[in-house]
Amino acid sequence: MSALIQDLKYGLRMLAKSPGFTSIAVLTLALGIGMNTAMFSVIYGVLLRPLPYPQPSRIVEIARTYRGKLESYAGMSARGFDFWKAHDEPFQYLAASTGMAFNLTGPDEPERIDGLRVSADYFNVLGVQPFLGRGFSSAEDQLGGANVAVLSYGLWQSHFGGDRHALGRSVLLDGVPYTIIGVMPKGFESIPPVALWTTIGQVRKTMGGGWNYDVIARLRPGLTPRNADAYLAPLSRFFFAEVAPDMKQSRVNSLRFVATPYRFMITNDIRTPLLVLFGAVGFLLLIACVNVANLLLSRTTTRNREMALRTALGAGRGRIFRQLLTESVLLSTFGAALGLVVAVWGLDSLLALAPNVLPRAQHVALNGWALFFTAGSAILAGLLVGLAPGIAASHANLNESLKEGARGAGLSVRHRRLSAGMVCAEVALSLILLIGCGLLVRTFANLLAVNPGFDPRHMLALQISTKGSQYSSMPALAAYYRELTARIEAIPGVQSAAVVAAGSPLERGGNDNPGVFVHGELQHPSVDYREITPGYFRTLGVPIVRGRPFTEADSSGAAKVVIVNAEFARQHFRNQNPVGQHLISGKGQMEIVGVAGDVRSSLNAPAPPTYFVPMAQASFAVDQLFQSWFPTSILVRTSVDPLSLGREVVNAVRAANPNIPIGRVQSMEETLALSLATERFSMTLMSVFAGLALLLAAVGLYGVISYSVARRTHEIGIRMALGAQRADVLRLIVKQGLQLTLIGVGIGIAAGLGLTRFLSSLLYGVKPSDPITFIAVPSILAGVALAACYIPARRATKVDPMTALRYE
Amino acid sequence: METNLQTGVEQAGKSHGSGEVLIRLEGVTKVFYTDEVETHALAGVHLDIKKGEYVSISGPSGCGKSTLLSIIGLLDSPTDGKYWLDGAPVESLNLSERSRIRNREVGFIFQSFNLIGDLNVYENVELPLTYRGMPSAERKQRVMESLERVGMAHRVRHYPSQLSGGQQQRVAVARALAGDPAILLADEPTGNLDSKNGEAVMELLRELHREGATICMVTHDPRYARHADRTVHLFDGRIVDEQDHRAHDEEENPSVS
Repeated sequence: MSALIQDLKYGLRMLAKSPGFTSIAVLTLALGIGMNTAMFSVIYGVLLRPLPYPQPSRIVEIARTYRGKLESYAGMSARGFDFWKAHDEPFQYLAASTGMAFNLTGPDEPERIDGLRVSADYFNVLGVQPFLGRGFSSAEDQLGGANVAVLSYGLWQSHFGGDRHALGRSVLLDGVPYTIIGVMPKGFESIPPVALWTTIGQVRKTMGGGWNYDVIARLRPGLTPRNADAYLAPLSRFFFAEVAPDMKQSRVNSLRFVATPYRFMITNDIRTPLLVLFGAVGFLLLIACVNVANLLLSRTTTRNREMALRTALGAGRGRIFRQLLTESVLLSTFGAALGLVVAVWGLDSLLALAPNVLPRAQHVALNGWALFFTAGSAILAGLLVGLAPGIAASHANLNESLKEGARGAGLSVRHRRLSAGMVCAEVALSLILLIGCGLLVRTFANLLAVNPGFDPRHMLALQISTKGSQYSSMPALAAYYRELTARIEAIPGVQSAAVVAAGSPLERGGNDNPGVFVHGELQHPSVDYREITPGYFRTLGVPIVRGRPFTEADSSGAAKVVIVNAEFARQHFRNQNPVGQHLISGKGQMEIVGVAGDVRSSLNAPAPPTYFVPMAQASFAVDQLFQSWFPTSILVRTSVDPLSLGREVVNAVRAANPNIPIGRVQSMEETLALSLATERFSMTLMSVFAGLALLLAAVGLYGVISYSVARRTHEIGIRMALGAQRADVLRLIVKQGLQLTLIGVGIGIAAGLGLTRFLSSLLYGVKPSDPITFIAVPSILAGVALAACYIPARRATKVDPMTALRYE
Repeated sequence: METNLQTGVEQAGKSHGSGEVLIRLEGVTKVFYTDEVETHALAGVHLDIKKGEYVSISGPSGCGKSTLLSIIGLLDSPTDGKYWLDGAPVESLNLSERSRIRNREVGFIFQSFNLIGDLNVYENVELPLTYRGMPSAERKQRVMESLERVGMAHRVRHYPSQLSGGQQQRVAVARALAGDPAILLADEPTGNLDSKNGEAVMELLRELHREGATICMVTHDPRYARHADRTVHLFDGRIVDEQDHRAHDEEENPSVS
């Protein structure tokens, strides 16, 4: 113990003796450890932190795999839920839920709130009960059951002032009174975040008719998800035979049900980007460690005599090694302490960068686990950093070192090779990060270059919901929208306005399975569905490539008409003119009167086949159903900055009907930016990490070449005495740096080709082995390396041969 | 800059001093400035060295011997005065021109050999030739000829650290010879050698001189100074005496022919 204290004391004294070196090393490690701590905090908060429910590992979601790969968005129908209720052996409780929005009306302004329709055992699955009142009963959770609601603590506080007598009172949701039967405890975390819950049984024929439910379950005590899988998988075949008998056998054979940990499911979309970024930031720490190790290795040359003296006085190799490791761990400890400051700053920046990207973002914080991770990183970094110099010093030639005196003998050939190897490793690691960054930048550029199918500039989108309003039929709604768009179009600066229901451009929307005769055979493809007012295509600037747009004449009493998009025509009317053909719905045949250009729902996927119906001819029930998931949007084309007209448009909506709740108001360019939030998050972080890696690699290379120039001053003097021109010396030094760079680049390219496949799910329009990236990025790196070598190389050309020869 | 220098030990003539002046210094001074101190290393040196001549420069430590040799070897430039190398003024050449002339006209032999540790014997000798852009085949021929002349051709793959001091100095001499320079400048060539190896190197220089090389050697050892045709004595940056050993030798050993 006293030896350790002595090592620590001496280590501290040595670090204090070289403040310049210590500062650079501590800063470098702080950057690496701090960024890792920040990223770990995100990983922990989002991916690792247990769900805030009792025994969370027992909560699973019944999910589907297709050929072994988890399907993120495969829902369950009401009949499917019934099937699993009848086959629930591994589960203590089983529950279904579906998210939907409600119009909450009352004495205050109407508002749109998010809610969940859940089955009776939902709170039992989560293991949390209302702190006031009770949860749902099976009697309530069925068709014709009583309309009851459980409030979140927040809604109870904001709308009932925390009054315990709220139980038994009603809230008006979509114009229907729901009796409050319970209030969830403060701090209860809902997934997804919602303001209230009601029962799902009432919508089994509407929402439950499609694959719109999520089914979660609490495993029986002692069972694992794997046990449940063993039970579910063999039942998959029977499930489809009973619930989806029309499904093709080949598809059925590829589908399996699995019990996936609920925490895993809710973070499935963000897992890959986060793990890729965590890997990237890990590389950054490695580069930082290599950099500091190289600095320490160079520094050992000045301490050869000291170490030789210690050895001569009886210190064993192990003792010398331990002394140096103590110093490096001290360095990394200081680095970690400063790294926590970097982590606080980094975490704030990271969260600011990803307001809508990270689920469970509220749990992302520097907590005990993060501190534990920081401490672990510090120890690991300290050992990594101290390893090479420790070995070098403990193997130094005692006799030579003592003879060389205080000036030091410089690094031996073996250690110079080690140092050069570390630079190559740094370059290789940086290149891998830069290639990853390059691919993500190219992806982002490709996405920005994607034509969404309409001009998003000068366009405002405003969400409304008419559920539970006075408009109880589509003609009434169509008349309201007509008046609304007329009012908006009267605002100076507005060119045109239109309304779309069941999904806005660049967002997911509703879908349907209309009947289509394809070469005489009736098929029911799954296609997107939208309800629009006549000005929709004109307002968006989407061309009608065949036929005609809707007009006011396409009213409820007129012949049923639809417009399909070009993708629909391509998929279902190949080599035919769709205009004049018919789609078949429950209400009869609808004639296709036009073909419109494609509008994307997401920039990274082609426009889905879509059919549009005139608002006045849509089914009211379908409209209301889709409004539960997708708000109706008013689209406004302006000749001025669209956001500058936001207030006037809102006023126009209020003037047309003050009882209609207004949701989000944003420009279509903001919608576009939001749709790329995950890609922007990944790209920005990767760019920051790659930029830092490049900087560290350049500094590392600069350090090694500078050291080399200092070491070779005498040699350079000889060369100049023998007639070397400045250009010869410049070439000599730059060549040395470029050789190291090229070796690193070679390794980096090979490793990059192997590692970029992990990025493939994050890429768009670019392959993981994209030749442009694999040529451009190493060129940039080589350019930076050249600059890093050029500075010491220029210094080398200034060597005065006279001085250099005297130096000997 | 173009110079009319004729290169080559062979061209310098077989005789001991052809009478044609290769090096001419007139009133050369060298002042070093450090902070507020001026050090006059050379204070008006006049010196001629003829082609084929073997001159030694001697004097006590700090008298300016090495400074004078550095100026002659174009490693340094005089503060004042004139310097002609084979008839061409060279005192105010730029760095690049000095490098080029140094590479072609001057062969250096240093006290501490100054071989490059990372290069083997062959590469060390080849080094000045690479700066001339000489074709590889010609370089090889010259390197091997030089190494054979100094008796080190059997050690081409060795590194300096694998050689004795005397062998290292032989390699350094071979490097100086390989470029076929107009003059060999030797700065205390025996300073780091034992007497046996020192004698051997001096014998090598004498042999080269007999073959026609022009040599200028700095030494503070009178025994080795006497190997030269003439010794120039420096004191406080000035030439204070000159001794012609040939005349002296002839007096002591009169010719019988």
